[in-house]
Amino acid sequence: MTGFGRRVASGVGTLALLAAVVVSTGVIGEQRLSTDERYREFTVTGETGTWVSTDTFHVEVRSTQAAGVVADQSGWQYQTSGVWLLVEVRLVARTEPTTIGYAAVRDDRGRTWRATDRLEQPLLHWSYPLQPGLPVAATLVFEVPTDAASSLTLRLSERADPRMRLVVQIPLRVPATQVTAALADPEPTVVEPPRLVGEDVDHPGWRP
Amino acid sequence: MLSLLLAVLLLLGLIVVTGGLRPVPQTPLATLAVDQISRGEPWNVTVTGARLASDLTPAAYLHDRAHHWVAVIAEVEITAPESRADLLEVVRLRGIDGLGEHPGAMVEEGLVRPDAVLRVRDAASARLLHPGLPEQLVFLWERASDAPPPPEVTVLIIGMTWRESSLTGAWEWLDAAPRAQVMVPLVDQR
Amino acid sequence: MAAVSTRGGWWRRNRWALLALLPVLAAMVLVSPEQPHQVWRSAQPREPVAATADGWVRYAGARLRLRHVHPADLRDPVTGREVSLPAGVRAWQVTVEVEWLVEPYQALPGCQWWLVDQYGRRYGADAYEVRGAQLGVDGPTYWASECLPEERDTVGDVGLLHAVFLVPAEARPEVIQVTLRDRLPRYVRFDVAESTRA
Repeated sequence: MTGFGRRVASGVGTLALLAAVVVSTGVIGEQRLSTDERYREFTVTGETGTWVSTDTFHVEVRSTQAAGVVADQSGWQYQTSGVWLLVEVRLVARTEPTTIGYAAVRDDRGRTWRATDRLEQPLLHWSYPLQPGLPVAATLVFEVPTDAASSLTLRLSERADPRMRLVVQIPLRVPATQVTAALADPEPTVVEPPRLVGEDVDHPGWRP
Repeated sequence: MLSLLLAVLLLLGLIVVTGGLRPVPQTPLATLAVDQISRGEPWNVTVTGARLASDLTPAAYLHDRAHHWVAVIAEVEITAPESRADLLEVVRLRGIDGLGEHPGAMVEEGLVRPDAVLRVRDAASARLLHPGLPEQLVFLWERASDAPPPPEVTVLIIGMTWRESSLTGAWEWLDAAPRAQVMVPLVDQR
Repeated sequence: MAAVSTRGGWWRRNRWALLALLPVLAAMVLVSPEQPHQVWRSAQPREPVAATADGWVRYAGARLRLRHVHPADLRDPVTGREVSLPAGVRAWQVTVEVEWLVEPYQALPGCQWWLVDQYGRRYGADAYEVRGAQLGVDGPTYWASECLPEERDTVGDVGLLHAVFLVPAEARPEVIQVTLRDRLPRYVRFDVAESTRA
């Protein structure tokens, strides 16, 4: 090979090496988890009527009810173009004061409805903190479209942003007939505030 | 020297081939009529009217009693998959003076954010709106001007794109920008 | 060009750069921004402020001493009748003496009270059920466990602060904590001696 030929070969060789480094770094980079995968939540699944535990609280869904109109303690009524869902729950904090920062219902298409802010929901966002070992009965209220009401999953977490946190998932089964009946009933369903329920509640102890 | 030049040319070639030098496409602003629906993400919006009002207590309070309200009524339905709490971002106004001149007003790129959003259904403050549940909303701007109001205002409907953020790699609602405009006659109901 | 230098030659040529590497590495480690763990840790109550021999703790513009911890006698302010709590729920009242070392409203701003039981469970004060109750038949009405003075208190005055906690009946108060968010990890810790747990 001539001197010039050797120099070109050397240059091409360098370029090829550079390109190989760039490409392989890219390929390796793509193998990592995406940001959304890295920050995903952790789920704990349960059923109505059983206690489900996270690291900070236990929760039991007792029942779910549909209502066409709801009212708060002052008698103020709330109308909707959809339907109200009232989820009766019991909650116990485990070792520290706890709140429910994230409460939502989700359908199988992934549409998510956060708990309504039209009524006071003291259990959410520290207005009524849960104390360790003291069970509280409460009603969580959601406003949803009528066609979505029958097969939703309740999702609860301590923090307002459930990413990288434990999220409880409990399916709520509300028969479509119940939804129809609720919409036909103009009588408002009164939403009870959270209340302590005492020692005859069979909840998991605080120890894991 | 030769290999360096070749490397630079290769790099430029890669940029051109992968479309890095293409200009970002600008979508034109659609003009809609009153009562005509603007479909898009994260919400569908139908503007139904615009009014001037002087006293909306107790639903909303003016910073200065000499001011009045500009109200835009629209039906909004969340088309994004999750409930949203950013209703102050749905619309902007153009073509009227005196907005955004009181403490606490938010002005960005010459457009004033509404001072309040109310639900027509119960005249209560609207913060959360849910997928599949369209609501009539009233967007309010406090107006500090004695000048006679224009006969109509331009309501800009804002849209967003759900895409991967180049900064964080996470999927987010980004690129908030007007996607449609509606010329609405302004009815003086003071 | 044939390779001339030996390994020793390379070391010798680069000796200053290699020597400079050590302090640079050390500086990187020492000057590095606070690790997330450290940030988290310093937001927890970790460093109790030491008490004097007679039990006074100096903290955030005041001196505090635990007076007593006893089951709370909660009364309806109108009827005088005992506030009823569900079975298995017990109310405890914590009383702390405070001496104001600065203008009282400047001291202990935004303080929070905690009760720790024998299992290490930690409780916050001011449950909804106890707000507005009277502490004893002739006692003050309790709204919240604040660190606020009586109306006319000034520097040097001594007063009493109260906090009421709801806990499960089997919980035994062992530690009382008083924290201020911007003083953490330093906080006030009182161990509840048998004598103070009436």
